[in-house]
Amino acid sequence: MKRDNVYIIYLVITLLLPTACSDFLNQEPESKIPGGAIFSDPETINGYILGLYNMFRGAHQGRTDMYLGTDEAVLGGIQYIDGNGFRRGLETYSNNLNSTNDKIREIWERHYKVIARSTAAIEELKLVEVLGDVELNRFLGEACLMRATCLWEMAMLFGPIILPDGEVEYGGVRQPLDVVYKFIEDDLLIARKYLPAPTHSLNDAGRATNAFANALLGKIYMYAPEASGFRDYTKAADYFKDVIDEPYYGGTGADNYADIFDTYKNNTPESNKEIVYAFQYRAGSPYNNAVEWEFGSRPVADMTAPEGLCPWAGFDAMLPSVYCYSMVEDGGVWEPGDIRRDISLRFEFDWYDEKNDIHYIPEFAGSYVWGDEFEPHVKKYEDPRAWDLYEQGSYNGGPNIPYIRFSDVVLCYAECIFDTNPSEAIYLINSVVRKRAFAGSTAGYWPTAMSKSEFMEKLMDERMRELRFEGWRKFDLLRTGLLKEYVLKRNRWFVGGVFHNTAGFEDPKPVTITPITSIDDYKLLWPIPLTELRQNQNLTDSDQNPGYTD
Amino acid sequence: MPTTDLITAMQGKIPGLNIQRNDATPGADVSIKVRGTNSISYGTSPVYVIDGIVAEEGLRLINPDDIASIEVLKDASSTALYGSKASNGVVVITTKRGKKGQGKINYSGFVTFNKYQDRLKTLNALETFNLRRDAYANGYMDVNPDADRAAYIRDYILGTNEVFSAEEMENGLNNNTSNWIDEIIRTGVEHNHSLSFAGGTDMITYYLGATYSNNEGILQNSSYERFSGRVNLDIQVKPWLKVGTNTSILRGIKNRLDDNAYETALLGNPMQTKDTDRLYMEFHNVAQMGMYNPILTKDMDSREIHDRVLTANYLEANPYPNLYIRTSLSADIYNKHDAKYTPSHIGQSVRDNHQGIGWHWRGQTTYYQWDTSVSYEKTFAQKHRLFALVSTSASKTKTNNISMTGYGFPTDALGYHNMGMAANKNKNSMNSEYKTNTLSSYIARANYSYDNRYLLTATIRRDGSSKFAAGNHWGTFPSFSAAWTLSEESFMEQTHSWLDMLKLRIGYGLLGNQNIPEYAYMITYVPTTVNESIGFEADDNKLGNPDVTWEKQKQFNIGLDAALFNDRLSFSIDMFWMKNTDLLMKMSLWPSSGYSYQIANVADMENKGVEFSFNALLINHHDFKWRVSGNIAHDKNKITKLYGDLDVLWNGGNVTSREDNLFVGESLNTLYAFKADRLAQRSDMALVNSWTSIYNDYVVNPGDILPVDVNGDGKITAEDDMTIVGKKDPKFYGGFSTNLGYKNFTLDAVFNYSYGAKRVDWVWERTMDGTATYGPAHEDMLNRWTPENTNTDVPRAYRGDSGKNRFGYGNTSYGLLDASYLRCSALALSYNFPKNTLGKVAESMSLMASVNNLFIITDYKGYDPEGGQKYPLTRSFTLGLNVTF
Repeated sequence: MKRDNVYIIYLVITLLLPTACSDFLNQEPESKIPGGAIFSDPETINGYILGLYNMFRGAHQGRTDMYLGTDEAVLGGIQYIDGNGFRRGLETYSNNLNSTNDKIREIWERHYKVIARSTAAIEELKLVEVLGDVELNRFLGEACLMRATCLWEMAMLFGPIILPDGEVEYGGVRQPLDVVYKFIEDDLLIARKYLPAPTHSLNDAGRATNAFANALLGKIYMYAPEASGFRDYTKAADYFKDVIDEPYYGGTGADNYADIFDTYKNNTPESNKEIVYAFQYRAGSPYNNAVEWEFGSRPVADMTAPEGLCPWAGFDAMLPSVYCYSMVEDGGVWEPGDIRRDISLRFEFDWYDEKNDIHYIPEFAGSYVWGDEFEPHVKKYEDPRAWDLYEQGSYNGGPNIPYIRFSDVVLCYAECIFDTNPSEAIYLINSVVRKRAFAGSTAGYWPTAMSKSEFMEKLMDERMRELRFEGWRKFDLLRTGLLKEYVLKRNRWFVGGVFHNTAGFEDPKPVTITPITSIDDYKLLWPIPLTELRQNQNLTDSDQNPGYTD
Repeated sequence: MPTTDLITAMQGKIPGLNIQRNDATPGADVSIKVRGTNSISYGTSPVYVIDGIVAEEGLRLINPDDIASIEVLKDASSTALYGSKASNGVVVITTKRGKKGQGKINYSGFVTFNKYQDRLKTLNALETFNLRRDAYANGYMDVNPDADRAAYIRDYILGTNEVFSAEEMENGLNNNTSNWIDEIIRTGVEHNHSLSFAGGTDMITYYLGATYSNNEGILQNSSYERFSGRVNLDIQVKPWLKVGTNTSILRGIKNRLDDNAYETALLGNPMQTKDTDRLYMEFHNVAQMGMYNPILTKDMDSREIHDRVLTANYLEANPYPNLYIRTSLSADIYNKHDAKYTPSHIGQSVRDNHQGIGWHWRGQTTYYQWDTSVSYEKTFAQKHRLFALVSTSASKTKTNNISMTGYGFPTDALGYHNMGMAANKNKNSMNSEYKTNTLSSYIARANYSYDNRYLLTATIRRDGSSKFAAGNHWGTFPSFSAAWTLSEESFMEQTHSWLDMLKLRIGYGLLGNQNIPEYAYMITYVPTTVNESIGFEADDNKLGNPDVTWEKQKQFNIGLDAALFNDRLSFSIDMFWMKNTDLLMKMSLWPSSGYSYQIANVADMENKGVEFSFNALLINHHDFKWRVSGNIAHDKNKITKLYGDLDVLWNGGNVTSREDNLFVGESLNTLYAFKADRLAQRSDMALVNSWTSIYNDYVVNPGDILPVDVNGDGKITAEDDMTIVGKKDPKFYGGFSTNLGYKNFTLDAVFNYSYGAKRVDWVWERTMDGTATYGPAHEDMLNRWTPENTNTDVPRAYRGDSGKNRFGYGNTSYGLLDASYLRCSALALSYNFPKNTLGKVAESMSLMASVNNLFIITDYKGYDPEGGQKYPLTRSFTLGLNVTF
């Protein structure tokens, strides 16, 4: 009998044991931060915002793709003939510019990643906005600024776009441009309110300031298509003026143009004076950005073993157009005495490796050669630190990538006020931009009076000289309506003809380019990726931009 | 049949069991599917229950010589006992136990020689040379129709090094063919030795086993070495108490030939002289990035070591007659060590100037399982037999791993053995992960049988899983089955002369599946390096889904078993219908959602099928016996509903994906592409020229693949002209075998087959691109379209000028291959020594010789219809010995 009792007790205990500990099925992550905890304290929110910055710069890393199809740069020959033709589509507005173009999808995806993730933070932070906590509201401002930037770029490229749901439920469908721009404006006004003024602290490098918010506010009023009803040069000028008056920039930006692109001077006072915002990178893997790998020259990559050690080794993704590198007398954009040409363009490709005392001279040797590899190349993104400090190649360069610079703000401001105050406009351009471009001399000064059309023509050239390859050209051409005219007359794939490489093969092989003679108007807006239309339950194929399916 | 791999032993023998040998790497697990596909991406394989321990991986470690029986459970009622992991079938593996009586010693050993099968036939150097020459000339003539083709070939193609490098020119014209595969293959040698001791008394029975096996694979460097030991004991401690253990200790050491060296060699340039000076494979002097010289890749040191203890320990009490209380505590302690060193001189390291890369990964999975049951079994009035059971089960799986990668080694001498030598502190990285999941179950089951004629089983179980959020933990899963042995009925009496048994079975059940990664119900954040700081980003860009819950499978099964003519002929037929709802899947999200995917209950699917198997002893003479058995299965699945009323979910969100998209009303395994069923001929050009635009400005000229304008809008677009072009499901599949016995000789042959499946094969597609510029070419290219040879289905040679391109095998239905096959998977001859010749030396002894994968009959163009791209399938020859003392 006693034995039986023991069994019965044993039986009851064992059968009930799994329920006895009710927590048995609640298993929290042990090595990851659970979603519910990420916004619970300022340290993890700060980590979240840093994560956003990572995505924000990632969304701008494939810069060549976002800015192809202009008169300033051309797609390199090897990339042009690449079989998948994604870049060729972007460059030439051909049938490869379609809804299944991977490069378009990537840009859309990376931007919306920032938009959606910043929205998650904004939702949470708006709940505590009234507390007036400076740190938390700064995070709110940063998230709003990143979201606004990405939304604006999407609106420039795709037209009416999808807005994130929040206080207002937009239902995941495309919104008209006036609604889109209002949304962006609201975000930027919050950013402007809470973001701090720029400082020289390295801890703040890469974090948004109120100057960035002001500059972007100016940009959206200036770049918004007329059709949005949002374009307003007066408002734009007001915000640009706030940036120009910010003491941090000293009214002039960087003293030397070269300092801005000297990677050894990244995040030093000399270059910071110019930087309203720059995406932050460091030399050497894993902090690199590989931007130069797009801009460098392939035979240069092949001349070293291992490949790509030279700071200007790369893959010829984007080269300056003939117009962009030629002197005025040769039909180009450059005036004698302008120091920016040599600072931002590479004409010579051999390399002296001081460490090993080897002088490398690249040659056309079969691989990945089309013929333009020794044409002038982009020099702005070379980062010699990768080799000097880490013995790594150009792929491992990590120059900061300027997004908005002081001189850009000045040029934008001048353009906005030209109608009302032309002499102030020209004065500012001369004293800030032209003076620095001519090494402090007044030789490059513009006359104090000129017609609007003359001004606009000079200004578009000046923007190319000052800002080329920094990503503004396509947007500038779109907002001024000059894209088709300029691209058709300056981009070699449209101009066509027999192309002789200037560096000279031993056995020169001229390449005949059959010119592309037109750009369909509808292609000035990119197609919405088919993935979005077909996977997003709120959209169908008929939500595509006009022209792509009919 | 001797094998070190128990899955191989099952191939072709069980109806409805589809075994795909898609990766023959020594030591790799093989994928198997029971009754077609019933889940999408999670838990598509059956679960293995080894002496009661539920295991999902690492079957390779189990020694087949220790196994007494393998049973595959397919229908809902029989799998119900294994519940929460059983919805894709259960493979019950029982290891050997001792028997009362005189102890026995058994030795079994074999040696196998494996040979590479050269099935992908590629062109020699001269043929490759000619193909590329034609491809460039055709590309040029397309753009310059009035040019002088012969002059272009003479002056440009042959006259410069623009098309052929000097090396290719020399090797091509002299037909010096480089066969890269030769550099990495060898004859594989595998041997296996097992020793066991078994026996017992009234109080204790024992089985002790030990094994060593070593498989040197046919790819150099690749090998798998295994050690295992086992103790199975059953001890009658008291008349009412029995305890026992099944414990094994296992070690597997796998060496690999890494970094796709095989694939790279398969796609090597036949016109490139083999050397070790070049880091990359080259075509036309262009280094193929990512295709590292396979000869150098052999210098990598890459090794995985698995150590495992599997132990199942039970205590069974019988306090009252007919009442049993049993509790068992089991554990699976699985330690994995993985390491790799990439020496500084090979391309993988040189490319980014890494100066040596060391990598270490160590992980541990500990699994504990505690089952307790109380059962009662009694027969009333001689005809009513009742069995009732209640049980609980709780299990916990804890996984942790650490990994590190280091760069910049001053010397390669020590490889990964001292990671402290990695000098590049900025680049070095380390990581760790810890996670836990738990399952809890309550089960009640009752069996009732009447007079061996009627059998009823009912089970209900309630399962809780930590994979779901609180509130969604639990699911309830009932099942029911009945059987009727007609042959026992009195009205069947007159059939007893020829019908031994006839049984009708019917079953219905609901099963659950929860086999998804941990924490799917929430976003989890992981560190990301942002220059000098650490930020947080959503792990894997995964969005949390608080609603995720059990995948459910309703299954209805009806079957018939029969045995006739003194059991000389027996057969079974089964039909099943399954309705799967709330299928779990990694569901791609639309890009504007900002996340890549969430794990969600995305789809409903039907699956139905029929299985038939038979076994016949055709000849049964004293000296001569002939037995034939076979099986055939057919199953068909269809997606009936998708998440949010979508009609399609794209694989990875990519709307041009060829495989793994889900379409409502279609099979799970569709293939999606531009439709194209033939080549364009001159007479088609009017149609082609009438199209207002062609996708990506592709060229369509005579001899190119002709796409079909599916919607007839006069344009070829991805939107309208990509369509479902086939499916990968076989129409039927199975196996058959014959067993001939003559005196002491036995001849066994095993065949397996599959019919009607389509497959795509990127290696074959690469060899059919018609350029000979980026890879070798298939010998089918000899029959390519030319103006003189228009009656062919092989496209012309073509390499586009100035970025022009055309439709290919990879994006049209042209790439679909018929993967039907019939394979002789084994042919074996064995000899059993007659007892009298053995005398006192041994109790029994047999010798055997066999050939595995003797031949295959197929139209498939790729390496093998079952796979073989990662690691080639082999033909093997085995000699074996089995002795019992």
